[in-house]
Amino acid sequence: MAAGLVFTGGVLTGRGLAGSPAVEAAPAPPAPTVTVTADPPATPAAVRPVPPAAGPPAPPTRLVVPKLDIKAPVVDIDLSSDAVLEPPSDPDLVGWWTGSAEPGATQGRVVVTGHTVSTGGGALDLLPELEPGDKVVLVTATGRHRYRVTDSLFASYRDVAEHAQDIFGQTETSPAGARLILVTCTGFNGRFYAGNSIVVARPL
Amino acid sequence: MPTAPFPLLTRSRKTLALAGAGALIALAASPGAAAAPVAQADATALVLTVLSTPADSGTVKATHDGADETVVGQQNPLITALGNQSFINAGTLAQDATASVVDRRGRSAACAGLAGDGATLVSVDRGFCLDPGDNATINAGTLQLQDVQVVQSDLLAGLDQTLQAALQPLLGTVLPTVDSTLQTVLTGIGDPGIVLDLGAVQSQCAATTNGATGDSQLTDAGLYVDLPTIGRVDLVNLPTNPPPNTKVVTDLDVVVTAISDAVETELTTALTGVLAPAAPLVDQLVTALNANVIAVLADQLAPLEDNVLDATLNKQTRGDRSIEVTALDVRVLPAASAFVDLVNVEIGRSSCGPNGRVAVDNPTPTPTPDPTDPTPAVPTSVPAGELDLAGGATSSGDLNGRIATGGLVLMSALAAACGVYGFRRVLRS
Repeated sequence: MAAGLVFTGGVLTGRGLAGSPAVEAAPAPPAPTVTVTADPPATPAAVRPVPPAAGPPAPPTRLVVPKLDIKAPVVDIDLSSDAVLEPPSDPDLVGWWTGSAEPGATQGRVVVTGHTVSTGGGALDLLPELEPGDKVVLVTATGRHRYRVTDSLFASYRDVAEHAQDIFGQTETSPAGARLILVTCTGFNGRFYAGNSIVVARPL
Repeated sequence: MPTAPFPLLTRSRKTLALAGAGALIALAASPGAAAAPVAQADATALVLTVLSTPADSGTVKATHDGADETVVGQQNPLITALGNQSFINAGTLAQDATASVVDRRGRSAACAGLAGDGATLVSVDRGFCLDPGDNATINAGTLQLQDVQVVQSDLLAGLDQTLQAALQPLLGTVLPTVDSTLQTVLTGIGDPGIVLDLGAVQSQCAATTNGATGDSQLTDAGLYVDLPTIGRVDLVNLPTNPPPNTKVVTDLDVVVTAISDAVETELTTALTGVLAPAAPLVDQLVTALNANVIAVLADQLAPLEDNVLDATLNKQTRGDRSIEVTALDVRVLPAASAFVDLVNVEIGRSSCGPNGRVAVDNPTPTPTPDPTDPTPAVPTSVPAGELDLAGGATSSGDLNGRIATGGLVLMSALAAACGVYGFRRVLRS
């Protein structure tokens, strides 16, 4: 875990922390991919079902991550009075924070979280395996909202607490659509988890 | 504000549930507002119960009221803490508990156990309490074998006419010989103890506001019977890392076999001498009489061949966000009460939780949010990790019995800073 954390931190630092000794000593990592990338060559339309339109903003009802074979129902979850966002107790479900943006909205961020279970069986067990370019879909009552992963990050709980606004803040305006934030825990060391895995995705 | 995806009834029920939970948490967690602590744990290294009379090592209990931790009880007591008893006279007892509050959420941990002399005590924060040293032994029961009796009809059972005729004139000598040989062997064995031999037996637990987990470790642990003049008879070797609530039930048939073998050896020698006048039927008579005596012995020791020892390893009892773990619980079953003193040995009992949350306005008051503040509340913690505890999940998928670990882990400052910068960089791009 420590090695992974340092690696992650190094990569993130290298993306923009100019002047950092760690960055200067490390080989230059690839530039961050935050722009929309074209889909792979399309299958002929005649044999490929046309996905429904995204539709107007609405709460998500299902999370689909083809790469990880995730098809999890989404339920709404609220923020506790002490700012804790508890995923649904059923590890098969994921929760959409009702205080966050609805998929398709142009302000805020869509925040979805689910459990990782140490022995498997959590809806988001494999979330840290997502990489930039991977696709994520949120299904709502009004359509399907497709996203492309731009970043997969690790954050200690302290990072999350201290920089909650940076991660979950709802003031961002995005004409192309609110970004998706997927959160679970990661770094299980046999007794507890080291922190959160956070995946950021942009709408397609 | 987003529209709720569910019918009003569902939302209302959830809102009510949350409100209720919030009220409960506030009541339970607010320092001074209620008796229930925010975090709690306790540990007891050893409990011996003989004839319903317990002797134990005392209990260490840690509580946190949201402002301060209080620990009562003696950590790592001496064996003498158990008072005047003869079941264990050497070893290292460990019992420790801690309760704390992290991010207004109660956390607690405990560990307890027994090891031999020379064991090293380990902080409760490290999980288990003990690094084993020498082995320790506990007398978990005493066998009482002197009441076996053989009568004349037992000796003659099944003998044909020829053997009975040859034996008849010698019965006056044979019967006392059998009786005295039996008594000699059994008296020599005396009242052997059922010994629990262990390197270290210990449990540990931890609890957060969401749940609790626990585990046990049995290092080089087993049960044996030490039969004087015969030797050590191993009953069972216990696994090092047993799953929760592992049952080990054992009989003493190996003990009966060892005693029978010893009796047979002695009888063969003794009877060969007294039956010499019955030559050439001596060998047949010795074999037949031996079989009859052993059969009588087996009948009278039969209760020992039933299950007489009931051990539960890594015994776990769950409550609502709490757990009690006992590393080893050995009971002599009442069925064996004719032969064995009833003893119950419990080693390494740790309890953790339930823990609550400190009310938002205690112990460190935080500013009341300004309703005109343009910055809305956002999550500062997403405890999305679960420990899968065996049998914890119910069929409905509820996570009762699992633990969500939302604990802070101190990471390197460099890595933390890098990670934070990464978020800003990525999320503001």
